[in-house]
Amino acid sequence: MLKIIIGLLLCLQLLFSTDVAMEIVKNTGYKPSITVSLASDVTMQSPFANDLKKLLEKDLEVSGHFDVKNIQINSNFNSTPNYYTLKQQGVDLLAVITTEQSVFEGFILKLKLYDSNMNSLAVDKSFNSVKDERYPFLAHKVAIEINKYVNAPSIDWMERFVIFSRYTSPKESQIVIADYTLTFQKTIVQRGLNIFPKWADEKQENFYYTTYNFGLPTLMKVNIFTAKSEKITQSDGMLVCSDVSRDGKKLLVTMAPNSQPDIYEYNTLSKQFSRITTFGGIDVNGHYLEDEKSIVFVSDRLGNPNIFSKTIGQRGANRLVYHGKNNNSANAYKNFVIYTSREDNNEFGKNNFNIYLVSTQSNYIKKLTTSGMNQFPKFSRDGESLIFIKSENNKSYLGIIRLNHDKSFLFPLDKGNIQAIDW
Amino acid sequence: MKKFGLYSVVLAALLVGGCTQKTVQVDTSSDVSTSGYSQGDVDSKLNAMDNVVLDFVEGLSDGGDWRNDRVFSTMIDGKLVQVTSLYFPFDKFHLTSDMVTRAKANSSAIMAVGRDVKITIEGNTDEWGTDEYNYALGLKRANTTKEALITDGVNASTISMVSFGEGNPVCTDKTQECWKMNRRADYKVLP
Repeated sequence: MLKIIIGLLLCLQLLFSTDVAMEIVKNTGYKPSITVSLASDVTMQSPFANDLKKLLEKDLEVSGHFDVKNIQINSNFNSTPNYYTLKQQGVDLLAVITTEQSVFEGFILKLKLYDSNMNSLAVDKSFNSVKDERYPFLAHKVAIEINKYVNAPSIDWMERFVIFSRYTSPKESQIVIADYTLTFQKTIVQRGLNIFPKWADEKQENFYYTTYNFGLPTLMKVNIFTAKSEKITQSDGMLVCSDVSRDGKKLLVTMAPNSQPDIYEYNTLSKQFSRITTFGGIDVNGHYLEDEKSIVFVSDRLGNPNIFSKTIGQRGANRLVYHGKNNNSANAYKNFVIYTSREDNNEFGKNNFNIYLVSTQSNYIKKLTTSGMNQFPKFSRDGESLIFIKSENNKSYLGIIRLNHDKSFLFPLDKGNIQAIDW
Repeated sequence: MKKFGLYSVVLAALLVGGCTQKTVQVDTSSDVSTSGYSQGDVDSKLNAMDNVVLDFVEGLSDGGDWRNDRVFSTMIDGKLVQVTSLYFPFDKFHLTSDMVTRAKANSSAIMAVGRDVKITIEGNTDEWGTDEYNYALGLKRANTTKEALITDGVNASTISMVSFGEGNPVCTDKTQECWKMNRRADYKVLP
């Protein structure tokens, strides 16, 4: 009964809410203001210099640790700025960057970070990129360096790779590795149907994916250093690696050896499968909860797809979500679960998908998006952020939600049609 | 039928270098602190990735006009077998009455050349829904189609299934007519 009341209250809240992630600004203390300036005394900038500057500004915003002031400051790289003027303009930090094309391929990014309150040059460093197209990683490196100077919580996650699959034509999809903004993209697997990529370890040195190029759906594991790939298993019907345990030794796999999609746990050492769900309908999308002895998953056992939890080895499942007509994708971090909820239950509606955050330990629930089609939500490794893909008005975006900062950011995507994504 | 794709690059890698780790070029930033994160880590992975392109030799594709029901024709022992795809309601995997009739007609066409004909049933969905669930829904549609064949006397052991989820659309327009044609099960009768 309590849950029904909470459900009703939630519905009322949703009627009147705007984008919750956007509107709540938690008071997390003073944020230093920063301006990024491309040095005006260097005429031969890299063709990527402006993109790099914009991405660095976005990184600093996404960090949640800076108030990025987009004001025009003419900065010479080899002369000290006027600290008094900076203070008058409300600028605590001035990051002057310049780029030099390398004699060979790639370029060098130089950074001078000035602290107007200390009247001093705080950081003077340079960074190399051997390939022009890798400039997003230089922007992330510089953001991390500036973040370190102010002793803010680590944003090293910005250097983590995102892996995703993208449909290119019927029965054809690529697997691509990207930076967290998807600005840098490198195709790793192509031709044929290659889907559901998933990082195999914390270090992001190996990944799993499913290919249809061997007749049956086949789970593959690839090492990015050796380009070596190995077949893990095959299954009739479908096969997906949904989650990997923290130590990388166990996988949660959805497969259908008897025409029946169920969730299995695969032990990579013993190479044994054990079946976790046995319902006759659809059970998919398993993710470990904190103890890794229980999982959250999607099932249609009550008629429509919804989110459930289950202890491995025990009968029965607990319904986690009491609203929405079609909740068909979930992801977990410790005991928090994010899921997508389709707001209409037929193809004639607006086709809005929104993302919600719930706890398995309480009735906590929060709507994180309010418009458009928001899919593929994935927690970061530290659980502080999530990425998702947003489609609205025929445009696609990569979205980042910084949970602790109650802020969300969108990066335009020129190529949509993403099949699955992992971070 | 032998659709065993080959990893051309992997094969080449195995022939040349076995499983040894490749020498990777690491950036040498002038004075970047390496505390807190590994400076060379990202770059060495990026360098390594430049050498990784797993390119399959053989792809799979279908043709045809999406506006028409998909008909698959195969010659088996000199006899023409024609079967038509089954279409499903939104987010469901049961057969409507007209599709029950069509499933029976398909079974008859197959039984005319023998109950042991090899068949692959491909389950498909529209673009609504997300990743894994769509693949499972496609599989349930394939399974419904398989059960209909078995009920009509086709040998269960000769039927295999695969789900393509939303990954094998016959049409990519944003229209209800288009989505309807993507919610289907295709029969592939094998010679």
